[in-house]
Amino acid sequence: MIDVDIEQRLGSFELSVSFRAEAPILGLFGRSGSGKTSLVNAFAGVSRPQRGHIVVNGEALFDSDGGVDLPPERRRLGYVFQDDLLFPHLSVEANILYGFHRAPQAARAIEPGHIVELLGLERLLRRFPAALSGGERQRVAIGRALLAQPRLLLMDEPLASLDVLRQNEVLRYIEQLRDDLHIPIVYVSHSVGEITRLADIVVLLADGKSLAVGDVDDVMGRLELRPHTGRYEAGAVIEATVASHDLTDGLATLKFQGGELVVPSVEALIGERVRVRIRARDVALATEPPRRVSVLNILKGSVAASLPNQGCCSWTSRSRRSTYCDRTRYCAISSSFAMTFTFRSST
Amino acid sequence: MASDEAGIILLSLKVATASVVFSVPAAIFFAYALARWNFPGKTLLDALLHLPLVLPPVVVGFSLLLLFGKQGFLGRWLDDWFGIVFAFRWTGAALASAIMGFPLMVRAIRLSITAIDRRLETVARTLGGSRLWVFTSVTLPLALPGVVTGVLLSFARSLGEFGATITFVSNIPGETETLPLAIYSLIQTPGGDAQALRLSGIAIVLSIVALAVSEWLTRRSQKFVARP
Repeated sequence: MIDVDIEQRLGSFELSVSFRAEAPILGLFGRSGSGKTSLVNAFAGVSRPQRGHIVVNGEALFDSDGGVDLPPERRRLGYVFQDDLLFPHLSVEANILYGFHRAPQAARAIEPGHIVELLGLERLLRRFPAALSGGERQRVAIGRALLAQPRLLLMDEPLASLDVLRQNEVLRYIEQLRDDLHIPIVYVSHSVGEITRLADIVVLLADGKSLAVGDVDDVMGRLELRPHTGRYEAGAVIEATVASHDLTDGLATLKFQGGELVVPSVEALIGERVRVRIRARDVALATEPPRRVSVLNILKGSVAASLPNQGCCSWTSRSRRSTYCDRTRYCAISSSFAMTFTFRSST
Repeated sequence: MASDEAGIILLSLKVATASVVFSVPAAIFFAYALARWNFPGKTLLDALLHLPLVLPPVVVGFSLLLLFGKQGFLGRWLDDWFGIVFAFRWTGAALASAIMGFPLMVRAIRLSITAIDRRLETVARTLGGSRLWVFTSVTLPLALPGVVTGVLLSFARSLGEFGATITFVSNIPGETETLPLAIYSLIQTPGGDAQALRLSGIAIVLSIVALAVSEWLTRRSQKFVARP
C-alpha cells in the first residue's frame, strides 16, 4: 500500500499530490512537466516536500507532522532512472552488488544468482558499462536496484532513452520480475503504451496535481481526462485472453468480455492474459453492419454517452464501458448499431 | 661534486613528494566543497585558494616567514605543542611548495568533480550508501583523473619552486637547497656554469618524466571513467 499526500514548492512549480493505492505495478502517468519526476524525487528522498507524508507498506518515509524524513540510503527504494546511470568505473558484477553489500544481512532475500538469471546478465558480469548496449545497461541498472533489497521499485521513464526493440526487451524483463519477485513497482511514464501494458492502477498527474487514481482501463478511458491522457492517444484498454493463433496469416484471436478481437500475432500462449489498447482514432462507428470492408473487427454495441465538443463517444458492450471517438463524424450519431475497428494492438 | 648533485636531486624529490602527499587530502576536501556545496563566503574562499597563483612568490614566502617563522604566531604554537618546526628546514621548503602548488591541484580536482553526474551519487545513496561511502566509492574514483593531474601539476610546480622557498627557508645546502636554488647559486658562483647547465638538464629531464607519467596515469584512470 502506497499512501502519499504531499505538497512541495519547487520554484514556480507547485506539486500537490495525494493518493492511496495498492497494486503490483502502480503507473504514474503524465506529460512532461506534470510533476512525475518531482514526485519520484520526493519518494526517493532526493528532495523534500514542505508538507505531508509518504508511507509505503505502513512505514513512513516522510512525515512532516511526525518529523520523519529518512535519508535516501535508509528508504530502501530501488530507483531506476531514465538513463541507466551505472557506475562507469565498476564492472557489471560490482555494479549489481553495490547495493547488495550495503543491505543488512537479514534483509537479503533477493539473491544475486537469481537476478542474474532473471535478467539474463550471465554473459555481462565481467564487462564494464561502456561495453554494453542500451538495453543491457538498463537491465543491469534494474538488477542493481533489485539487489539493494528494496521494498519498492521506482522506475522513472526507464525506457525513454531506448529504441523500440530495446524497449520491448526491457518491458518483457519488467513483466517477468513483476510475476517473479512480488516487489511493488511504481512505474513513471508519459507513454500510454507502457502504462497500459504494465500498470494495474494508474495515477494521472497534470500540472503537479493528481487528477485521477484508478484502474488503468478506467482512467485511460475516461472522457473528461482526455486532454491529459492525450488527444491522439485516447482509447480503451481491454483485458483479454489469447484464444487462438492463426500462424498462416500471422494473426491471433483474443477473447474479452465484449466479444473477440483479431490482432496481429502476439508473443503469448493460448490462455495467457494480455492487454489490448484500442486507440480512439482507430475506431469508426457505423449505424448498420458494415459490409464489403477489409476490417477484421466489427463489434456490436450502443453509444452510451457522447461529448460533442470532444468528438468522443462512450460505448457500452455488455458489462463494460469503453471510450472511442468517431474519426470522421465527431459523434453526430446518437445510437449506433455496430462498431468497426481497425487498430494496432499493444499487448 | 657528483654526490652533492645526487643529494640535491634527492632533496628536491623529497620536498616535492612531501608537499604533494600532505596537500592532497586538503585539496580534495576544498575541491569537493567548492564543486558541490553552497555556503556563505564561497567566493572569498575560492579567491583565497587562488591567491598563490597570482601573488609574487616572494610575498607568499614572506607571509610564511611571518606566520611560521620561529617568532611567527603559528610557528611558535606548532613548535611548543607538537615540536614541528618549519623555519629553515626542508619541511619549510615542502610547505612553501605545497602552498604554491595548491591552487593548481584544487583546480584540477575541482574540475573533475564538477564533471561527475551528480545523479550517480544519488543512485549510490538510494542503493544504501552513506554520504561518506558514496564519496569514497563513487565520487573519488570518478575524480581520479583530476586527482592524478592535480598531483603531477603540483609536483612539477614543487620541483620548480624558487621564490617562496628561498624567502621562507633560505638556501641552506643539504637542508633547503633544492634544484632551482642550487642552480641559482651556481650561476652566482664564478666557474659554476658547467654544473648549473648539468643541473638544468636534469631539471628538464625530471619535468618531462613527470609529464609523461601524468599522461600515462591519466589515460589509465580514464579508461574506466570515459563512456562512448
